[in-house]
Amino acid sequence: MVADNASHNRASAEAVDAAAGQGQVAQMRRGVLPYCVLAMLRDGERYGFELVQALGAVDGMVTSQGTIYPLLARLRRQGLVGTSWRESNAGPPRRYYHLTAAGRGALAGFSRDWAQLREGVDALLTRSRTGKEGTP
Amino acid sequence: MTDDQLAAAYLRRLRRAARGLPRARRKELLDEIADHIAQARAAGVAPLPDVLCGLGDPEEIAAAAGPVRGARPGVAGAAAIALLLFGGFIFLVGWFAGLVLLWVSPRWRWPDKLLGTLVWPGGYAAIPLLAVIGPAGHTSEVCGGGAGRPTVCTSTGASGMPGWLEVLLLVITVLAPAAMAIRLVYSARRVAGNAESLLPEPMHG
Repeated sequence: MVADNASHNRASAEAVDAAAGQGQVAQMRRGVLPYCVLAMLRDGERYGFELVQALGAVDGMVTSQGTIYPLLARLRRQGLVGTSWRESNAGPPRRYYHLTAAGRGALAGFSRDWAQLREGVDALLTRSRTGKEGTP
Repeated sequence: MTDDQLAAAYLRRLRRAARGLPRARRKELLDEIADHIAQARAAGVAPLPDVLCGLGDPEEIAAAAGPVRGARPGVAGAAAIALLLFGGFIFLVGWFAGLVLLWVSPRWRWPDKLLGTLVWPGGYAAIPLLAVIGPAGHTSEVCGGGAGRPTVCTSTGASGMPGWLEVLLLVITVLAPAAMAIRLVYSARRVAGNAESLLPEPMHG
Protein backbone atom coordinates (compact mmCIF):
# COMPACT_ATOMS: atom_id res chain seq x y z
CA MET A 1 0.00 0.00 0.00
CA VAL A 2 2.79 2.34 1.01
CA ALA A 3 4.82 1.28 -2.00
CA ASP A 4 1.73 1.70 -4.14
CA ASN A 5 1.30 5.22 -2.87
CA ALA A 6 4.94 6.02 -3.47
CA SER A 7 4.85 4.76 -7.02
CA HIS A 8 1.57 6.55 -7.56
CA ASN A 9 3.06 9.78 -6.25
CA ARG A 10 6.09 9.39 -8.46
CA ALA A 11 3.92 8.68 -11.46
CA SER A 12 1.75 11.71 -10.81
CA ALA A 13 4.85 13.86 -10.24
CA GLU A 14 6.13 12.73 -13.64
CA ALA A 15 2.75 13.46 -15.16
CA VAL A 16 2.86 16.95 -13.66
CA ASP A 17 6.38 17.47 -15.05
CA ALA A 18 5.29 16.32 -18.46
CA ALA A 19 2.23 18.58 -18.32
CA ALA A 20 4.38 21.54 -17.26
CA GLY A 21 6.77 20.82 -20.11
CA GLN A 22 3.91 20.65 -22.57
CA GLY A 23 2.47 23.84 -21.12
CA GLN A 24 5.78 25.56 -21.76
CA VAL A 25 5.94 24.31 -25.33
CA ALA A 26 2.36 25.46 -25.82
CA GLN A 27 3.35 28.84 -24.41
CA MET A 28 6.31 29.11 -26.77
CA ARG A 29 4.06 28.19 -29.66
CA ARG A 30 1.61 30.88 -28.62
CA GLY A 31 4.49 33.33 -28.46
CA VAL A 32 5.68 32.71 -32.01
CA LEU A 33 2.25 32.22 -33.58
CA PRO A 34 1.62 35.94 -34.25
CA TYR A 35 4.86 36.09 -36.24
CA CYS A 36 3.97 32.95 -38.16
CA VAL A 37 0.74 34.65 -39.13
CA LEU A 38 2.67 37.74 -40.22
CA ALA A 39 5.10 35.54 -42.16
CA MET A 40 2.24 33.89 -44.04
CA LEU A 41 1.15 37.30 -45.25
CA ARG A 42 4.60 38.29 -46.44
CA ASP A 43 4.00 37.24 -50.03
CA GLY A 44 0.61 38.82 -50.41
CA GLU A 45 -2.84 39.07 -48.96
CA ARG A 46 -4.92 36.10 -47.88
CA TYR A 47 -8.38 35.75 -46.49
CA GLY A 48 -9.05 34.41 -43.02
CA PHE A 49 -10.22 30.93 -43.87
CA GLU A 50 -7.31 30.34 -46.21
CA LEU A 51 -4.81 31.57 -43.64
CA VAL A 52 -6.28 29.39 -40.91
CA GLN A 53 -6.27 26.33 -43.18
CA ALA A 54 -2.65 26.89 -44.12
CA LEU A 55 -1.56 27.38 -40.51
CA GLY A 56 -3.57 24.35 -39.43
CA ALA A 57 -1.71 22.28 -42.01
CA VAL A 58 1.62 23.01 -40.29
CA ASP A 59 2.09 20.11 -37.91
CA GLY A 60 1.80 21.01 -34.23
CA MET A 61 1.52 24.73 -34.90
CA VAL A 62 -2.08 25.39 -33.95
CA THR A 63 -4.15 23.26 -31.60
CA SER A 64 -7.36 25.20 -32.00
CA GLN A 65 -7.68 27.05 -35.27
CA GLY A 66 -10.51 29.22 -33.98
CA THR A 67 -8.07 31.19 -31.82
CA ILE A 68 -6.36 32.54 -34.95
CA TYR A 69 -9.33 34.84 -35.63
CA PRO A 70 -8.97 36.74 -32.35
CA LEU A 71 -5.23 36.83 -33.02
CA LEU A 72 -5.83 38.40 -36.43
CA ALA A 73 -8.16 40.93 -34.84
CA ARG A 74 -5.46 41.84 -32.33
CA LEU A 75 -2.80 42.19 -35.01
CA ARG A 76 -5.18 44.51 -36.80
CA ARG A 77 -5.74 46.60 -33.67
CA GLN A 78 -1.97 46.79 -33.26
CA GLY A 79 -1.68 48.03 -36.81
CA LEU A 80 0.49 45.12 -37.97
CA VAL A 81 -2.03 43.84 -40.50
CA GLY A 82 -4.64 45.65 -42.52
CA THR A 83 -7.88 44.29 -43.91
CA SER A 84 -10.00 44.84 -46.96
CA TRP A 85 -13.29 43.36 -48.04
CA ARG A 86 -13.45 41.65 -51.42
CA GLU A 87 -16.32 40.20 -53.28
CA SER A 88 -15.97 36.47 -53.76
CA ASN A 89 -17.46 34.62 -56.69
CA ALA A 90 -19.22 32.32 -54.22
CA GLY A 91 -20.89 33.47 -51.02
CA PRO A 92 -20.56 36.68 -49.03
CA PRO A 93 -17.64 39.13 -49.36
CA ARG A 94 -14.43 38.00 -47.71
CA ARG A 95 -12.10 39.87 -45.45
CA TYR A 96 -8.57 39.82 -46.78
CA TYR A 97 -5.57 40.43 -44.56
CA HIS A 98 -2.33 42.07 -45.64
CA LEU A 99 0.88 43.16 -43.92
CA THR A 100 1.28 46.83 -43.07
CA ALA A 101 4.65 48.57 -43.01
CA ALA A 102 4.69 48.18 -39.22
CA GLY A 103 3.87 44.48 -39.62
CA ARG A 104 6.72 44.07 -42.05
CA GLY A 105 9.07 45.77 -39.59
CA ALA A 106 7.91 43.58 -36.71
CA LEU A 107 8.39 40.48 -38.84
CA ALA A 108 11.91 41.52 -39.85
CA GLY A 109 12.77 42.22 -36.22
CA PHE A 110 11.43 38.88 -35.12
CA SER A 111 13.30 37.05 -37.88
CA ARG A 112 16.57 38.43 -36.50
CA ASP A 113 15.66 37.74 -32.87
CA TRP A 114 14.49 34.26 -33.72
CA ALA A 115 17.67 33.36 -35.60
CA GLN A 116 19.73 34.55 -32.65
CA LEU A 117 17.61 32.68 -30.11
CA ARG A 118 17.59 29.51 -32.17
CA GLU A 119 21.36 29.54 -32.57
CA GLY A 120 21.88 30.14 -28.87
CA VAL A 121 19.48 27.38 -27.80
CA ASP A 122 20.85 24.96 -30.39
CA ALA A 123 24.38 25.61 -29.20
CA LEU A 124 23.39 24.92 -25.59
CA LEU A 125 21.41 21.82 -26.43
CA THR A 126 24.18 20.39 -28.59
CA ARG A 127 26.87 21.16 -26.03
CA SER A 128 25.02 19.43 -23.20
CA ARG A 129 24.41 16.42 -25.41
CA THR A 130 28.04 16.06 -26.43
CA GLY A 131 28.99 16.61 -22.79
CA LYS A 132 26.89 13.64 -21.77
CA GLU A 133 28.29 11.50 -24.55
CA GLY A 134 31.80 12.49 -23.56
CA THR A 135 31.47 10.79 -20.15
CA PRO A 136 31.24 7.05 -20.73
CA MET B 1 -28.27 15.99 -34.95
CA THR B 2 -28.01 17.50 -38.42
CA ASP B 3 -25.01 19.54 -39.50
CA ASP B 4 -27.08 22.72 -39.29
CA GLN B 5 -28.03 21.98 -35.71
CA LEU B 6 -24.47 21.06 -34.84
CA ALA B 7 -23.11 24.30 -36.28
CA ALA B 8 -25.84 26.32 -34.54
CA ALA B 9 -25.11 24.64 -31.21
CA TYR B 10 -21.40 25.39 -31.59
CA LEU B 11 -22.06 29.06 -32.36
CA ARG B 12 -24.48 29.30 -29.43
CA ARG B 13 -21.79 27.99 -27.12
CA LEU B 14 -19.34 30.50 -28.53
CA ARG B 15 -21.81 33.35 -28.10
CA ARG B 16 -22.27 32.36 -24.48
CA ALA B 17 -18.54 32.06 -23.89
CA ALA B 18 -17.91 35.45 -25.50
CA ARG B 19 -20.59 37.21 -23.47
CA GLY B 20 -18.09 39.31 -21.54
CA LEU B 21 -16.43 40.73 -24.66
CA PRO B 22 -17.17 44.24 -25.87
CA ARG B 23 -20.11 44.06 -28.24
CA ALA B 24 -18.27 44.91 -31.47
CA ARG B 25 -15.47 42.45 -30.80
CA ARG B 26 -17.92 39.73 -29.94
CA LYS B 27 -19.95 40.25 -33.09
CA GLU B 28 -16.84 40.23 -35.24
CA LEU B 29 -15.61 37.01 -33.64
CA LEU B 30 -18.96 35.29 -34.10
CA ASP B 31 -19.17 36.44 -37.73
CA GLU B 32 -15.69 35.17 -38.51
CA ILE B 33 -16.21 31.77 -36.91
CA ALA B 34 -19.62 31.40 -38.59
CA ASP B 35 -17.98 32.36 -41.87
CA HIS B 36 -15.21 29.82 -41.31
CA ILE B 37 -17.74 27.06 -40.72
CA ALA B 38 -19.74 28.08 -43.79
CA GLN B 39 -16.64 28.10 -45.99
CA ALA B 40 -15.38 24.80 -44.63
CA ARG B 41 -18.77 23.25 -45.36
CA ALA B 42 -18.86 24.77 -48.83
CA ALA B 43 -15.36 23.49 -49.55
CA GLY B 44 -16.33 20.09 -48.22
CA VAL B 45 -12.77 19.38 -47.08
CA ALA B 46 -13.81 17.55 -43.92
CA PRO B 47 -16.95 16.40 -42.11
CA LEU B 48 -18.42 19.14 -39.90
CA PRO B 49 -17.52 17.50 -36.55
CA ASP B 50 -13.88 17.50 -37.68
CA VAL B 51 -14.13 21.14 -38.73
CA LEU B 52 -15.55 22.12 -35.31
CA CYS B 53 -12.95 20.00 -33.55
CA GLY B 54 -10.24 21.76 -35.54
CA LEU B 55 -11.63 25.15 -34.53
CA GLY B 56 -11.31 24.14 -30.88
CA ASP B 57 -13.30 24.84 -27.72
CA PRO B 58 -15.54 27.90 -28.01
CA GLU B 59 -14.40 28.86 -24.52
CA GLU B 60 -10.77 28.81 -25.62
CA ILE B 61 -11.54 30.93 -28.68
CA ALA B 62 -13.45 33.47 -26.58
CA ALA B 63 -10.60 33.59 -24.07
CA ALA B 64 -8.14 34.25 -26.90
CA ALA B 65 -10.23 37.25 -27.92
CA GLY B 66 -8.67 39.16 -25.03
CA PRO B 67 -9.76 40.50 -21.70
CA VAL B 68 -13.27 39.25 -21.34
CA ARG B 69 -14.22 42.26 -19.25
CA GLY B 70 -12.98 44.93 -21.58
CA ALA B 71 -12.23 48.29 -20.05
CA ARG B 72 -15.12 48.37 -17.64
CA PRO B 73 -15.19 46.92 -14.14
CA GLY B 74 -17.98 44.60 -15.30
CA VAL B 75 -21.23 43.70 -13.60
CA ALA B 76 -19.67 41.79 -10.69
CA GLY B 77 -17.10 44.54 -10.18
CA ALA B 78 -19.72 47.26 -10.22
CA ALA B 79 -21.83 45.22 -7.80
CA ALA B 80 -18.84 44.83 -5.49
CA ILE B 81 -18.24 48.58 -5.42
CA ALA B 82 -21.92 49.45 -4.98
CA LEU B 83 -22.33 46.91 -2.17
CA LEU B 84 -19.19 48.13 -0.41
CA LEU B 85 -20.62 51.66 -0.45
CA PHE B 86 -24.28 51.05 0.27
CA GLY B 87 -24.63 47.34 1.05
CA GLY B 88 -24.42 48.13 4.73
CA PHE B 89 -27.93 49.50 4.57
CA ILE B 90 -29.15 46.02 3.60
CA PHE B 91 -28.86 44.75 7.17
CA LEU B 92 -25.07 45.01 6.85
CA VAL B 93 -25.19 41.67 4.99
CA GLY B 94 -24.95 43.54 1.71
CA TRP B 95 -21.59 44.97 2.69
CA PHE B 96 -20.24 41.52 3.45
CA ALA B 97 -21.50 40.34 0.06
CA GLY B 98 -19.61 43.22 -1.52
CA LEU B 99 -16.54 42.24 0.47
CA VAL B 100 -16.71 38.68 -0.85
CA LEU B 101 -17.13 39.93 -4.44
CA LEU B 102 -14.16 42.25 -3.93
CA TRP B 103 -11.82 39.55 -2.64
CA VAL B 104 -12.74 36.84 -5.14
CA SER B 105 -12.47 39.22 -8.09
CA PRO B 106 -9.41 38.96 -10.34
CA ARG B 107 -9.90 42.65 -11.22
CA TRP B 108 -8.12 43.95 -8.20
CA ARG B 109 -4.81 43.27 -6.54
CA TRP B 110 -4.54 42.94 -2.82
CA PRO B 111 -3.69 46.56 -1.93
CA ASP B 112 -6.91 47.65 -3.61
CA LYS B 113 -8.81 44.85 -1.89
CA LEU B 114 -7.43 45.97 1.45
CA LEU B 115 -8.38 49.56 0.68
CA GLY B 116 -11.91 48.49 -0.24
CA THR B 117 -12.16 46.57 3.02
CA LEU B 118 -10.86 49.27 5.34
CA VAL B 119 -12.59 52.36 3.85
CA TRP B 120 -14.92 51.92 5.66
CA PRO B 121 -16.03 48.61 7.13
CA GLY B 122 -19.79 48.72 6.61
CA GLY B 123 -19.57 51.45 3.98
CA TYR B 124 -21.81 54.49 4.27
CA ALA B 125 -24.09 52.69 6.68
CA ALA B 126 -21.28 52.69 9.22
CA ILE B 127 -20.73 56.45 9.16
CA PRO B 128 -23.66 57.38 11.43
CA LEU B 129 -22.41 54.63 13.71
CA LEU B 130 -18.92 56.12 13.67
CA ALA B 131 -20.39 59.49 14.45
CA VAL B 132 -22.08 58.03 17.52
CA ILE B 133 -19.15 56.08 18.91
CA GLY B 134 -16.39 58.24 17.44
CA PRO B 135 -15.00 61.42 18.90
CA ALA B 136 -17.86 63.41 17.46
CA GLY B 137 -20.23 61.40 19.59
CA HIS B 138 -18.58 62.49 22.77
CA THR B 139 -19.41 66.10 22.33
CA SER B 140 -20.66 67.62 25.41
CA GLU B 141 -23.18 70.29 24.97
CA VAL B 142 -23.25 73.10 27.35
CA CYS B 143 -26.45 74.93 27.10
CA GLY B 144 -26.87 78.14 28.79
CA GLY B 145 -30.19 79.70 28.90
CA GLY B 146 -33.01 80.49 31.04
CA ALA B 147 -35.94 82.64 31.41
CA GLY B 148 -35.90 85.53 29.03
CA ARG B 149 -32.69 84.56 27.33
CA PRO B 150 -32.31 82.59 24.10
CA THR B 151 -30.86 79.17 24.61
CA VAL B 152 -27.21 79.08 23.56
CA CYS B 153 -25.47 75.83 23.15
CA THR B 154 -21.77 75.41 22.59
CA SER B 155 -20.36 72.06 21.83
CA THR B 156 -16.81 70.91 22.04
CA GLY B 157 -15.49 67.43 21.35
CA ALA B 158 -14.33 65.39 24.27
CA SER B 159 -10.91 65.42 22.66
CA GLY B 160 -11.00 69.14 22.77
CA MET B 161 -11.02 69.37 18.96
CA PRO B 162 -12.34 72.59 17.58
CA GLY B 163 -15.58 72.36 15.67
CA TRP B 164 -14.03 73.03 12.27
CA LEU B 165 -11.67 70.10 12.67
CA GLU B 166 -14.58 67.81 13.44
CA VAL B 167 -16.36 69.06 10.35
CA LEU B 168 -13.25 68.44 8.30
CA LEU B 169 -12.94 64.91 9.68
CA LEU B 170 -16.59 64.31 8.92
CA VAL B 171 -16.13 65.51 5.34
CA ILE B 172 -13.11 63.24 4.91
CA THR B 173 -15.03 60.35 6.42
CA VAL B 174 -17.85 60.89 3.96
CA LEU B 175 -15.65 61.47 0.92
CA ALA B 176 -13.21 58.62 1.55
CA PRO B 177 -15.53 55.80 0.40
CA ALA B 178 -16.28 57.74 -2.79
CA ALA B 179 -12.56 58.16 -3.42
CA MET B 180 -12.07 54.46 -2.71
CA ALA B 181 -14.80 53.60 -5.24
CA ILE B 182 -13.21 55.79 -7.93
CA ARG B 183 -9.84 54.20 -7.29
CA LEU B 184 -11.32 50.69 -7.58
CA VAL B 185 -12.97 51.58 -10.90
CA TYR B 186 -9.65 52.81 -12.28
CA SER B 187 -7.56 49.92 -11.00
CA ALA B 188 -10.07 47.43 -12.45
CA ARG B 189 -9.50 49.11 -15.80
CA ARG B 190 -5.79 48.87 -15.43
CA VAL B 191 -5.93 45.14 -14.65
CA ALA B 192 -8.16 44.60 -17.67
CA GLY B 193 -5.62 46.50 -19.75
CA ASN B 194 -2.80 44.35 -18.40
CA ALA B 195 -4.67 41.23 -19.40
CA GLU B 196 -4.51 42.49 -22.95
CA SER B 197 -0.79 43.13 -22.79
CA LEU B 198 -0.16 39.68 -21.32
CA LEU B 199 -0.82 38.36 -24.79
CA PRO B 200 2.39 38.28 -26.74
CA GLU B 201 3.32 41.73 -27.89
CA PRO B 202 5.29 42.13 -31.07
CA MET B 203 8.88 43.16 -30.66
CA HIS B 204 10.03 45.98 -32.86
CA GLY B 205 13.45 46.29 -34.38
